[in-house]
Amino acid sequence: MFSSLPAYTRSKALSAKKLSVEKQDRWLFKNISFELQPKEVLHLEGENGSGKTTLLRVLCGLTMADEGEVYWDDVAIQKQAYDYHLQLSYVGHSDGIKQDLTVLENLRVAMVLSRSIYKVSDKKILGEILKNIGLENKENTLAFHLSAGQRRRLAFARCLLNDSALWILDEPLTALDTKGVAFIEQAIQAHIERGGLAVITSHQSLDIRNVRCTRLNLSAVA
Amino acid sequence: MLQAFFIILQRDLILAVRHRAELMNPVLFFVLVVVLFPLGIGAEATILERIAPGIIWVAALLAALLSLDRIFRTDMEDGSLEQMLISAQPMSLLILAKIIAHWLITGLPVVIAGPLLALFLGLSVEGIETLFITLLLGTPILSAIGSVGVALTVGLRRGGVILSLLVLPLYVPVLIFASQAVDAAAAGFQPAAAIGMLSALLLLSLSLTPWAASAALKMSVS
Repeated sequence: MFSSLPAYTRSKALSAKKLSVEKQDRWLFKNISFELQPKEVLHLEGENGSGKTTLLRVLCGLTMADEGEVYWDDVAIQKQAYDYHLQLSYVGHSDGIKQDLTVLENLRVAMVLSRSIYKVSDKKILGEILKNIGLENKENTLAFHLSAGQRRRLAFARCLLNDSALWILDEPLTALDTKGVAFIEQAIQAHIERGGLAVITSHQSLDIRNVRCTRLNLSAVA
Repeated sequence: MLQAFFIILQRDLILAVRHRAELMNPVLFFVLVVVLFPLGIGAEATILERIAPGIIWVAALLAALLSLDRIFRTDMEDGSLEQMLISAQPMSLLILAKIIAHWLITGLPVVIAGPLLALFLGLSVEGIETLFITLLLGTPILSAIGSVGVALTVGLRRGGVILSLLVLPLYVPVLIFASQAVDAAAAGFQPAAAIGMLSALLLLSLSLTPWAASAALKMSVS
């Protein structure tokens, strides 16, 4: 289902230089540096509380690092917030889904916020996306009535709405069934083949083939 | 960009309608407070007429304060706020939409109910007309200033008390100018000066607070 999509045109390198974050008077992590080229995956590992989510939030520009800087195409992300956010899809720790909106309403808000390449009124595309994430016939269900796994799928749908070259995924596989896990692995694989980048934290191992996957263990760094 | 403004406005209104109990809460509070005053003071027409503008405005102020937290709190809790901050849309515009939605939900019912209650309290026709105008100009200011207060305190686990301390002093000018205008009109004078000040405050707050709230939110979220 992903084979027909064209390669990304604005995929650039993501790099971090000497990132350090302090929390409650101790260094959560110190001097984290890496460089991620298009078609590469960075898999963050580490124990609970080792700062994986914080590092992802720093990469998104949501949290400021106490030291160091994140660069997209060698320009600090703070200096190009708009262009960077246009290239970014983030599935965070919390789903970012409104429980009292229907699946379709949630999707529409996400589309407008991310300046989706698709039209909000394009029923065909919306139907296709819903089918991909396994929520067909659920478009008018309140997100409140979805299961945790279904909500996670809906959150992941944000990545498919836009031609964003950088996916930052915080535990994307939580609460998913085997079919859901396989779907997300396929989606990431296709994303990388199109020239995208992905930064992922996951306690499960991801089955993605033929992809350069760098591992970074935060517990080891601390 | 306009599409983003309208979809957030629409989203917040839908959410409010689906939470009808919360929707009724501020206006019910407003009506109850105003109705209780004659019971406590006694039904002497001259006293009630004299204090009607003050009662109605103080009640409107407290009703607004009661509902402020909702502007950002739920969005913060379910992660929607993060998604807005890293969206490819200007945050201040999204906040303006949220301020206007908040006013439509909590301010507009007060604007409608206020003059009716003033009628029961025996305010003169000139006084009621001016009261209506001051409520129409003043209640959006309450939502706008409140948004900055909430943005600053939403990161705290118990921000309620700080929010009141932060926001109430900023509400005082609105209270003074509004009740001055109504008093003047009820006494047969021209209320134009005070109404002019309220209009100025409205324009100032609507144009500046979205930026301030946006900056404050970025701090609160990180």
